[in-house]
Amino acid sequence: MKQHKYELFDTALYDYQFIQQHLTDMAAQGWRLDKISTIGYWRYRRTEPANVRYEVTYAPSGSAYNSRPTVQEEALTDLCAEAGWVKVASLAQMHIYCNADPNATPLETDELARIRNIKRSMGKGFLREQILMIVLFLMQLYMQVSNVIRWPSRTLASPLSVGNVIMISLLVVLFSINLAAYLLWIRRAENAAQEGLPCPSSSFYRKFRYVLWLFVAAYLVILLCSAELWLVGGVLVIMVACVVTTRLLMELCKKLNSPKWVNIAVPFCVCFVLTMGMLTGMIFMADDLSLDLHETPEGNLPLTLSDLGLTSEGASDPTVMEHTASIVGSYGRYWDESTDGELRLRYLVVDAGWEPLYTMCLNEQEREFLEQANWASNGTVTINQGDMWDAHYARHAPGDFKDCWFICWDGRIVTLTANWPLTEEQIAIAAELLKP
Amino acid sequence: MPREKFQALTEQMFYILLCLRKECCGMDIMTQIDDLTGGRVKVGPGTLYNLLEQFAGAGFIRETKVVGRRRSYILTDKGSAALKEEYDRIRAQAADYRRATGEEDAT
Repeated sequence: MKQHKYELFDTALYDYQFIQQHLTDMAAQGWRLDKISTIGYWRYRRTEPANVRYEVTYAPSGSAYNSRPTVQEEALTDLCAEAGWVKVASLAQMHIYCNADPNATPLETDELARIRNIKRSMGKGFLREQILMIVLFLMQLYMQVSNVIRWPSRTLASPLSVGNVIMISLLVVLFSINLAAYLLWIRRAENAAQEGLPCPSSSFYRKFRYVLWLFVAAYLVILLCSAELWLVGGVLVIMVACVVTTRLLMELCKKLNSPKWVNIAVPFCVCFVLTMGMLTGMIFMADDLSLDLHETPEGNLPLTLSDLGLTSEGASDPTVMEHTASIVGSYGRYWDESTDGELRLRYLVVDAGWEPLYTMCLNEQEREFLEQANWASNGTVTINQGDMWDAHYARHAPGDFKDCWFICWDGRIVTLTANWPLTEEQIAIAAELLKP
Repeated sequence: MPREKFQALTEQMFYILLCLRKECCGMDIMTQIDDLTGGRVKVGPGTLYNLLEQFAGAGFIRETKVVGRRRSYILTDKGSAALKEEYDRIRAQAADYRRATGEEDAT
């Protein structure tokens, strides 16, 4: 029969009512809280089922980084011990006590003082952490969104980028809800205490948070199982591993009775090194991934020289230079060159189904086309050539060495360059093969 | 800590300050309040610790000695004034009650 039970108890530290009830219920089932690990698990030891009162109190002077309890925390423990309350465990500013005497004076007898104490304690720990996490995730989101704005076609077609944006957005939502739920709860709790009403429950928010965590977990599973997105999932797993490692290290430092600044500095430095290592690894992995994409086997080109009747089968070298696709778009760069090197066809196909994203890609591609056209045809660019391509919009930049076309269909943008002037028949064939 | 926070002392705050007219430690305060009120008012150790910290921060009390891990406190002039103010407020309330109910005339 196992003597210990471990629980991943994801609850907010300020949710004292829920923690007290949960621990009392566990004791009634024969499991007494033994230890709260900084990694996140709660350990229980087997005992006889008993009616034990658990109460939670807070000491604002406490910190998750302290190796030893502060003088004030020791004073609290002594005071509680003299009143018959035995300290069970603590985490950051939260302290848990138990008492087998059902008639013992409760730890907290002034609800308003308790709520204000929670407010001071959370202001020093929980609140700062939540705000820091939101700021960090928002910075990451800002970098990702900047990439989308600067290079929309490629970024939106990259499963890595889109997967990252979704993941970071989910985490921003999760942490923002955590923060908002706390601020809402503390306001309601303070008002209730002032009016002498019972402290409001945070059960709705707790359930909501479980649902959000389920979403994050489900998304992580999807990422890890996906052939294209496993890297995002992998990065997330490494991030979690980083957090666990730094917390383990902090636990070790605390066991060695290191001063507070060491308990902060050592895990922070290790976390920094691990993150840098992880980012470097990611860059290498991403490079490998793009090499794989470059080596995509031929045969899937939408348009080849032989389709245009210019070469016979096997007399050219059709190559998928690059192809990526995500749930919001795709990006493909294709080359075909005759084996004698006389004919060269190069084109880029960008798909974006959603109108605002399509517009962003259109602006980017048209800008690039005009830069190319300026060089190829000394700025001679015609517009309104859409009818030739059965498209709603097309531009043409005829040049001595290059014939450049920019064609837009609904949801698809193509930039095509040939080293000969395309005939009307060739345009008709190309339009048929390239349009969505 | 802003003074406004303690403008109206709660019953527990009042008794804690009342006990601290003489130097005493946390456990003594809990026992004294229990004796003084016949068990009507109880102050839990968590609340007591929290209020002592806040009173010390506001300058209402000061630490006098530390024996082992036991800390003793005593009321400061500021704390005495706050206690007196609260006492006057309660007395005024009681006087109002007597006037309103005619209890004063009866006695």
